[in-house]
Amino acid sequence: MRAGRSVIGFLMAWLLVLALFPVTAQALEIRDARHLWMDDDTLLVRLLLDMRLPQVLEEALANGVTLEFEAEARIEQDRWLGRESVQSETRRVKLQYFALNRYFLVTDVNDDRMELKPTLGDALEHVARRLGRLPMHGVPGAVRERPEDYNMAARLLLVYSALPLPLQLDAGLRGDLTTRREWHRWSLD
Amino acid sequence: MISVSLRRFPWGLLGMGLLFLLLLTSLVVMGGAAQDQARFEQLFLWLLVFHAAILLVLGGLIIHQFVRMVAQYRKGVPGSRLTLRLVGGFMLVAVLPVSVVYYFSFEFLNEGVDSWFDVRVDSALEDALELSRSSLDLRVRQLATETQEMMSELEGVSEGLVPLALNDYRRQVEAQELTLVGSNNRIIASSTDSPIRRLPSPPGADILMRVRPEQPYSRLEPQPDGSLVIRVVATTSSRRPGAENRILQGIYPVDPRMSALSQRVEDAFAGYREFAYLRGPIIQGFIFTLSLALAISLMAALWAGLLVARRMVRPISDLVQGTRSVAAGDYSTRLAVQRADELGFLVQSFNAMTRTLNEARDEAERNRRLLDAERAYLESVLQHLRSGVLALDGSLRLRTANEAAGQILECELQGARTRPISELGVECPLVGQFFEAISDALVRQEDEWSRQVVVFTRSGRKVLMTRAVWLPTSGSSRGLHAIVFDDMTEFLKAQRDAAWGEVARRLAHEIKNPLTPIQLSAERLSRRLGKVLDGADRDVLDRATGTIIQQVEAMKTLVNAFRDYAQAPRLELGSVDLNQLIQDVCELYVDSDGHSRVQTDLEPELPGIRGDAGRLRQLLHNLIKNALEAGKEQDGFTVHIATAYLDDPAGPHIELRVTDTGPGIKPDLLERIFEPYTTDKPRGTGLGLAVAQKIVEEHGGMIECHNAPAGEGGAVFRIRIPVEHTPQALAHEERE
Repeated sequence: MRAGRSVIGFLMAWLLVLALFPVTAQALEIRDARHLWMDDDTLLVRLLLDMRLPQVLEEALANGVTLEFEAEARIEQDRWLGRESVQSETRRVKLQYFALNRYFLVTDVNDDRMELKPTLGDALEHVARRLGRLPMHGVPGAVRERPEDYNMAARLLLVYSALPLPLQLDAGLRGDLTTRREWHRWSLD
Repeated sequence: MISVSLRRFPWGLLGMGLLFLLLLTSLVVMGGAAQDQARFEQLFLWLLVFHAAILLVLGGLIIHQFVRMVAQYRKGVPGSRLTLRLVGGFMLVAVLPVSVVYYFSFEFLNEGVDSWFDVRVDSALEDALELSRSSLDLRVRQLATETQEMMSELEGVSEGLVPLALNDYRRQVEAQELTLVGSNNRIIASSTDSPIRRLPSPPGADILMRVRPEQPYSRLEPQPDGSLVIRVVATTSSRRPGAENRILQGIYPVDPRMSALSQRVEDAFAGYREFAYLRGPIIQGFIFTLSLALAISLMAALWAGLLVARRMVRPISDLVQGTRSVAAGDYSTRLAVQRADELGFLVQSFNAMTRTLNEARDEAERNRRLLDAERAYLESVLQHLRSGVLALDGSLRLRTANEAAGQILECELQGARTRPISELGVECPLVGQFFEAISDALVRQEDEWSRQVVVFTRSGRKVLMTRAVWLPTSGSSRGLHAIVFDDMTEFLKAQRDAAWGEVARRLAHEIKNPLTPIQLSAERLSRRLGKVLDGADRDVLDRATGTIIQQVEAMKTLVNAFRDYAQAPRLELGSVDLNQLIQDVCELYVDSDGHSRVQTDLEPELPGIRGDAGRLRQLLHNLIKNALEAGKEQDGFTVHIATAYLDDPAGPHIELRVTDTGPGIKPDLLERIFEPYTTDKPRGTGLGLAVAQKIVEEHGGMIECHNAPAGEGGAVFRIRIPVEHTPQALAHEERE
């Protein structure tokens, strides 16, 4: 009876997590992250990203499915219970196959800039470049004055909800996509 | 009292209603969302999670109910078997149609979705896309050629006139933008159709890497507004040594109609490819959704079946529990009437039955208590009676015995109920003797009888005055012998002693007292008249007075004998060797020539008895004299005295047997031979044997008389005297 309850609990938790949280591909990860003060209240976050797609997403892309990637960076402050986000910045990029000229089209959702890349590798490299640059404007002065009190965090993920619904279900049920959304953290000091 | 009298709150029905309401709501929401793809996709996962949660809840509830039901079945809880059968039936009814629907839906989905994809449509879309590409490629190549020509022409144009030339060219070829770029991506000149909106954008590094002299680079590019443009980048080999390399970039709009058509073809192709690619996941999604919906329906049906079954079976299980309680003797069981149907009527009938049973049981209990009280009263009366009371059934098994019966018969009868009286007779000799004496009356089942029973015990002889009644079978009660008996030994003895004492007193008063004057008068007459008479008169006088005096003496002897018989003897108890005593007495009956008509056969080493040697001597004299007087005229007449030690169930005792070879006792005298004045001798007083019996009884013994079989002798006197102390002897010793 106890085992049955735990299985039921696990299934419910899994379904809830699937619904509530975006899913990231297994090979999408942040290799390195740094930050740079551009001026007193502008912080530029640079992320070195590994943008290798799993087979299911490559197939989906080649068959007309648009993929959306999102990078998010934020300044955190440790609190008694967990961490508080002081400021955050998000960049989202779409990648799709443009059949008319057989190029891969990369569109920055933030500024609608489009780039055509002849190969998937070029396209992913461009995506990594676009997502790896996150300027944070209007950073509070306290962050600059006492950087030791703050931490930086960033993450990269595939926007699961942007996938076609059947693919969400299929990939989710087959376990090709995981629900990992780990944060990469480093010190602001 | 079974705790089913309170109406239970229907939590199960409430939960089931809520669940169906939620399912209905979710279906309504899903139906609405299905009309809007974006909303549907937004809600789908939530609905999926919701249904999965409901599925899990239902599954959990069903498993819980099943586990509970199976546990109840194993424990043998009333109604669980029926519930299990009903649920099994519900399951069968639910699973079969759902399985059929599921199978056909599954087949329909597989074949239906496959039918959406047609090779001809696929091919047509491929062709349309290729046509668009060809058309656009043609335009791209044309613009590449024109741009290359413009670039060649610009080689000869001085740098100052380049902007004008670019402007002219742009108007000629209807370009959006023409830009001449020098080394390091420096913009030399640019011309655009909308200088306010658009700034010149130099070609990117990846483009520059692909540009070769006389080989312009060109490609089709989509724009954020959905339109298409053609970008061409061309360069030439510098004709002048040391001159700066120049690159001309032209951006040409695609005809809006052409652009729109191409975009639509591209969108349709991409959508179809995506749709075809997602065919498998779509089918799986549909099947998953279908499975979920059917599973929810099935589980909801099962749960409803469980609840309905339990609800249907509950009155029956209550009835079963109630019946068990009634079977266990709890007639106060009442079941709550919760329904107005046949089951409710059954419950009402059950309640009426238990109420009636309860009243009957109470009445029976009251009667039983009354009977117990009556029985206790009767037993109390019986226990306090000094008379022994026995009740035997028709098969002579002991049913009832009071304490006095056990005391009289010297046997523990209280714990011997239902045992055959013959068995008890083996264990208790007195009981055996008693029932041997009355068995004939018991066997004949005489209605009412009474008799005096004499038994011989360790403590001596007992006379039991017995009365009995046969209560024949009546209704459910079986036939019964009611026997009441009293130990009359002491009473009879006292009564006899008192009677004979009175006789002795009267004899002394009425007879003995006048005897002396009579005797004196006779002697005076003899003295006075003897002097004056002579001859024959004197002889007559002497004989007459002599007869008077002699008869008076005889009467005195008679009176003294009565007195001796009637008066309480003063036993001088001591250890008596009976054999020695017999030999001493027999010595007196030896003739002068040494012959004796009394013979003895004495058992050696006979144990001594406690008794009065003088009285026992008198006993022997009386018996021997009685025998000798009976056979004094008979030749060869002998008296035979024998002793023996016997240890039978009545106790150890010495048997003294006196037999003679005479004619025996007349049968009419045999019954009352030991009563005073009973004699067949012309000169006997009739007191010898009465005194003998009195002496035997004083020693706690018993004497009986019978005639020997014809040809084997005359009268036989059999005397049994206990070896141990008798209560009579001890009582006499104490009085002394």
